[in-house]
Amino acid sequence: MSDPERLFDHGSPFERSLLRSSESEEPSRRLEEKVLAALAAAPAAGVDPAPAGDAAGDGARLLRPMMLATLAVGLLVGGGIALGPRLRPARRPPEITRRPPRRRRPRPLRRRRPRRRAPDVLIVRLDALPSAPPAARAAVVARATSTATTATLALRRRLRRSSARSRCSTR
Amino acid sequence: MVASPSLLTAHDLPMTAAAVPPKDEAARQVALVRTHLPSVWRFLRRLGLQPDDADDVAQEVFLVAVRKMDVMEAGHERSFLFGVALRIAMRARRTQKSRADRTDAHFEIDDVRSPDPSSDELLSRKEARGLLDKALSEMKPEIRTAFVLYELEQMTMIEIAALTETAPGTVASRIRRGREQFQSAATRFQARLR
Repeated sequence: MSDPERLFDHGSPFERSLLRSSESEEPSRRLEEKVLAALAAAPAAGVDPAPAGDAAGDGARLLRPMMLATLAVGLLVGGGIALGPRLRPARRPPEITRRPPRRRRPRPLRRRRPRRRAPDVLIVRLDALPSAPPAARAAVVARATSTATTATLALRRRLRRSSARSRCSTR
Repeated sequence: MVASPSLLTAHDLPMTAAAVPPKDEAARQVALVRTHLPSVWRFLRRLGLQPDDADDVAQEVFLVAVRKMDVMEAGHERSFLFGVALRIAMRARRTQKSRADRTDAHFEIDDVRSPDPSSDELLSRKEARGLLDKALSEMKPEIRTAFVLYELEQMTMIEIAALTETAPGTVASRIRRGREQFQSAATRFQARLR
């Protein structure tokens, strides 16, 4: 890839004058001095800023953080011992027991009451009745239901009356 | 320990006992600063930094460069310094953007109007720099960087691609757009000057 012509060299006069004006700007002389001073004060590449081998200096540097660390650990342990009983919970924590699962009693089976059954059919023969007149001693079959019983009793009463009447008329 | 008196004086380098670089290394540092400080500082100015900010960033650039002397290839110091300068300037511009842009944008063309209508050549360098900075301030940062490196610092597109860590095609595109924008601005300025 070839580089295109630069406006710096091939632009219009006005464009070139604008671009070349940049060269006239220079940093101040003091900047160079400041930068050189800063470089001199800064540690050089590969140079350890803290020179090793000064055992006394290293010891003095390490003494203070070690003392602070020891003090901090002591405070933590002492505080923990002093506050230990107070830190116990006032209440016993609820014991967690494993309850056996509640057994469900099987529901008692409800026996359904047997429906009242109608009384068995009672066959009453009218001629078997002691009070039955001979005319009414025809064989009658009736059902011995409650209704039939009532009917039988009513019939019996009628038979009695009719037999009493017939007796009166014969006399 | 003090470096060679021909290159360095005690006034130039007030060294402490804790940080005394070897003689050759100190000489190399001084040579680096004296050779490249003006171009690095100008590059920072064209990127939009104010003179005071450019001073601070330039010093930081050389501090970084000195720490990485061992990875800096001989003969490629300029590219290395410009790469460091670009990164630090981008970071500095983020914090100083409003201040820098405000100053650039308020440069009025009427301030440099000359009574002579054909005064292209008479346009003073300072006034021309004002117009140049105004034209550059209208570009996007990436286009501005590529344009400044190519047109003002005369770097090749390959060097710019390596420095900005972008593809050569992208650099070519940015340079082309930068040139278009610069020519448009120059035409506009010239029309208003007449």
